[in-house]
Amino acid sequence: MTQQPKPDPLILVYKELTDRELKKLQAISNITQSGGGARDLRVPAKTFRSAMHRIFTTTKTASNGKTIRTAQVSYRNGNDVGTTELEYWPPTDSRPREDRVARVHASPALGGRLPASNRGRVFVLFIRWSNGEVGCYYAYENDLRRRGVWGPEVRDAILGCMTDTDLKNANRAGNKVSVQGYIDFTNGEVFCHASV
Amino acid sequence: MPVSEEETEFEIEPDARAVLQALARRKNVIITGPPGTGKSRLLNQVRALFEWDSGSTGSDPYGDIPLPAERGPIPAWFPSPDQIESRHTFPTVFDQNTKYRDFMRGLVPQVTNPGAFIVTSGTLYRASVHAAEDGNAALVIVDEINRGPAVAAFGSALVGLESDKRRGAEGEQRFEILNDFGESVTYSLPPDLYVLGAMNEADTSVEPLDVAFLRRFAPYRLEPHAEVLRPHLGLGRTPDGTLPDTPSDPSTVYEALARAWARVNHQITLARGAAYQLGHGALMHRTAPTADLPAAQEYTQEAWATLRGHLDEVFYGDTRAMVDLLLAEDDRSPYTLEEGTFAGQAVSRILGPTRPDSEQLYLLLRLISQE
Repeated sequence: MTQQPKPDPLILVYKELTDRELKKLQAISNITQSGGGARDLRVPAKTFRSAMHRIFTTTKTASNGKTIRTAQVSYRNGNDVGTTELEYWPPTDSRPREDRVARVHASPALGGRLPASNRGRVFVLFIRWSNGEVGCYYAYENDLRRRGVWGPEVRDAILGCMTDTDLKNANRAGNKVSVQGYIDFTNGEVFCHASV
Repeated sequence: MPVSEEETEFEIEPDARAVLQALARRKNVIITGPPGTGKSRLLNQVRALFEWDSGSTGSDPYGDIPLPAERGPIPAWFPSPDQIESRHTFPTVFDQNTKYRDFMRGLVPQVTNPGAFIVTSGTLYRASVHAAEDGNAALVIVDEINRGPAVAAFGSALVGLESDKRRGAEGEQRFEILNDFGESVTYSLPPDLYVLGAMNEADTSVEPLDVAFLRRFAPYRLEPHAEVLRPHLGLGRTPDGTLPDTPSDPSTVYEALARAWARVNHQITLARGAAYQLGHGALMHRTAPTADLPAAQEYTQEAWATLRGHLDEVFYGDTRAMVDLLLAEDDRSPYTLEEGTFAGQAVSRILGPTRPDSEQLYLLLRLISQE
């Protein structure tokens, strides 16, 4: 049997799951103001849309008439590979500057599991591969900080963004930004939202 | 978790592997070898490998880590393979002015506060502090270790350098140093600290290191390798056939250069010792053009200038040796020997081109290689 060559990553978008978002994912939130879309993963529309549209490439009209983007996300299902659809939605009226990935928590894209709670800060990663597949993953701070676990490009980008974001938040009383950014492997661009 | 040697997929060159293994066993290693044998290159390789700085990003779309570090876990045979939190190298170069305070600790005037002194933290001390932390390992790299007063620079730390003298060992050897407040305290070097030196022991401008110093280091010797030079010049791994009277293509010119270099190194070894040879790297100063004869001749002239300069240094004042090396008594050589008397004594000098043209040079190289 010939082994398929492993695909290269084309673009990777990462976003930290804050404590609040983790609670939402675990559906234990008692934060009443979190709203109905609490379990959606939100990203700043202006800076992330072009990157996210390279991952969510299919255009579709949702049941409410809105035009959304979708991606078939591949995931391991035992010894098989399954696919599931994830949706990328434009902003709502109440949050006009945020796009969102809908219902990640309910999707098998992340292996149907909640993130571990004992491996440091948690990130969700979306990766578009050169073979056309899209993957969705968890990444943990403890793994990122250990040498020889994550590839240096990913490790450096996320840890660097974490530092920049923490510095930015240290000077803010409220409205903290989360660690989020992307790596464009096709041209080497590394974007961290806190650096804007 | 560290993996065994067999499980390590990453290719590590034999020299780097041997040095890392020696570091793991002895903790202190000195790389020696003639100039141009790749000491600096080896130091860089060992530095990168020691830090195990995950050089590239792999791909595993269905793995828990979809973009893993390509190298994987640290091999079990590495120095301190279980210290994976922070593996740093601390490079330095010794020179005639290097002091104990630069390498370990000492007092220096505080520039911003006249009359006051501060305690320095030298390279070895900083590495030692780093290596003492749980999960850390440190490698001090000292290039040109014999170009400075090495024994004085290590100072009292010398007694605690060997692996069985390190902190926590049965024979732990403590010595006095200054703490941050300038008070004398006893100290020992941590087990996850490594020292890698490099030197050319035949360097004519430095003093030899004493035996008591050297026995604390595992030696690793590099030699000139024709099998490295020849592919660089576009040649087969071994010489083949005789050289024509005139060069017909780049490979003929390069063949003459490679053979003459090997011959000259042989003669240097006989006359002065192996340490005085010229390494292959000295003739690999740039990419060797292999498609164009004049370009190859120009490259060969550059290489010869390096080789000739080395010979002049090694055999300075020894005209007889240079006569033999340049075959000045052979009618076919562009060099001739002039003999006479001066102040009642027999004297001699070599006459010939300072920079032989490409035709003269080919004939000379061919002649040397046939000797």
